[in-house]
Amino acid sequence: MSLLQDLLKQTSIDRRNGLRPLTRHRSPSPDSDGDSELIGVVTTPGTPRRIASRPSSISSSRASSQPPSPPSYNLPASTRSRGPHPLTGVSRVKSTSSTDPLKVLPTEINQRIFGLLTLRDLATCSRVNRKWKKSQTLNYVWFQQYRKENFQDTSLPPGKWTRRESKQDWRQIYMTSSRPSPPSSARFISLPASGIQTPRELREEQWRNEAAETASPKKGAAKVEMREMYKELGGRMARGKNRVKNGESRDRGGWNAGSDDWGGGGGFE
Amino acid sequence: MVNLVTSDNESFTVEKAVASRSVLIKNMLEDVGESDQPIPLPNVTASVLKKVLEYCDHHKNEPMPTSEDLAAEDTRKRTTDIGEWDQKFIQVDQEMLFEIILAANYLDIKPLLDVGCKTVANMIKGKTPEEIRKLFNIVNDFTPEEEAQIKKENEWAEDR
Repeated sequence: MSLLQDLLKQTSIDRRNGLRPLTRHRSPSPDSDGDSELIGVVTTPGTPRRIASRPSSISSSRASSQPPSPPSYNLPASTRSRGPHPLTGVSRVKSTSSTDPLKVLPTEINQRIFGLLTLRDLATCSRVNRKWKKSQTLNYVWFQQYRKENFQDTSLPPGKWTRRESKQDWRQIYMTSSRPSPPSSARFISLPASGIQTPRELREEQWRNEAAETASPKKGAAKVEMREMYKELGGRMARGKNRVKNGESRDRGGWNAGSDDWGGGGGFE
Repeated sequence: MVNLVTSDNESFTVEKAVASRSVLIKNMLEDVGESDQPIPLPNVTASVLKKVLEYCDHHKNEPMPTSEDLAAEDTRKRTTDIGEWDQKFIQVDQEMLFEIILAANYLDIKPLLDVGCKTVANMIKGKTPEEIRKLFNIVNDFTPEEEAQIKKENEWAEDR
């Protein structure tokens, strides 16, 4: 049984033992809001529990333009009304109670709900607000969609969802992987028709171009000269350097010291 | 007959066949055996249980879903069709809908949980981000630039 299932089972067992569902106990602070955390992942000791899912550039721009937390977070729990409500969603705008399924419903139920959506609707969901965009529930559903699309076979067991998977943005991975690839001429305009180049060939072409540009100013001359030398050496120099480095670090580590005769001599200079 | 007591201390007396639509209660009854002891349901309020029992009563004569049924349902996951009666039954306000889903989850009534999840999915389907925000009372905290960026990332899926 997978780790995720184990954990889900654990929660349902907890509930059966008379504990009220987590969602009812959630205090309104952002920290209690579990969905941006990892789902079904065991935290190894010594690692931070949360991943920094928000790039720093966003938080800085946000600090300057907006209050630090969305207003919905600041509601005291007591304002969540419990009585019956008028039916239409629109008339509830004034109400302070949270009706965001990602806040009200447990993870496994939200996974079911969002798993029923089409890709188009899922994509729309990522545009609702920050919480929805970084939601691990939605990320998990994207992950499943990606697997379905890339492995075709629906009888496969659901993919393993570990810390590593949860750190990736599966919406973006899905989008990039299944988007029809752009015409190759647009992307590789400077490359020969084969489209396949070794890194060295790429570098040499780049240098040829640069050399043509910097031919007259003296500034680039030394650089180009060095590159000529590198080309003559056929890349041996760089590899030699690496060996020296590796040799040193092995020595420092105290293992394999003295028996480094296959290291190309770099370590003995 | 089975006696159920809600979190707000209301008690409901229902047929065993009705109460047994809940796998939780069914297992409890099997474990305890014949007994007049009331069954406490500390996670469910009277107003929600009333609604849930209405569902159970309507479906009491149907066979319980087998594990094969549930596995088959997983493979045709994307279908969000709901039966006619169920559709009428689930036409409640959002708070009640979420409460029913939570109760169905707690009481382990898979078909009802299914109806609830499909209903929420159908509410989201085909809507714009702004319509979804309105639906769930969500504040848009994106900057216009961020919004444009995600829209661009999603372009391919949106014309699908």
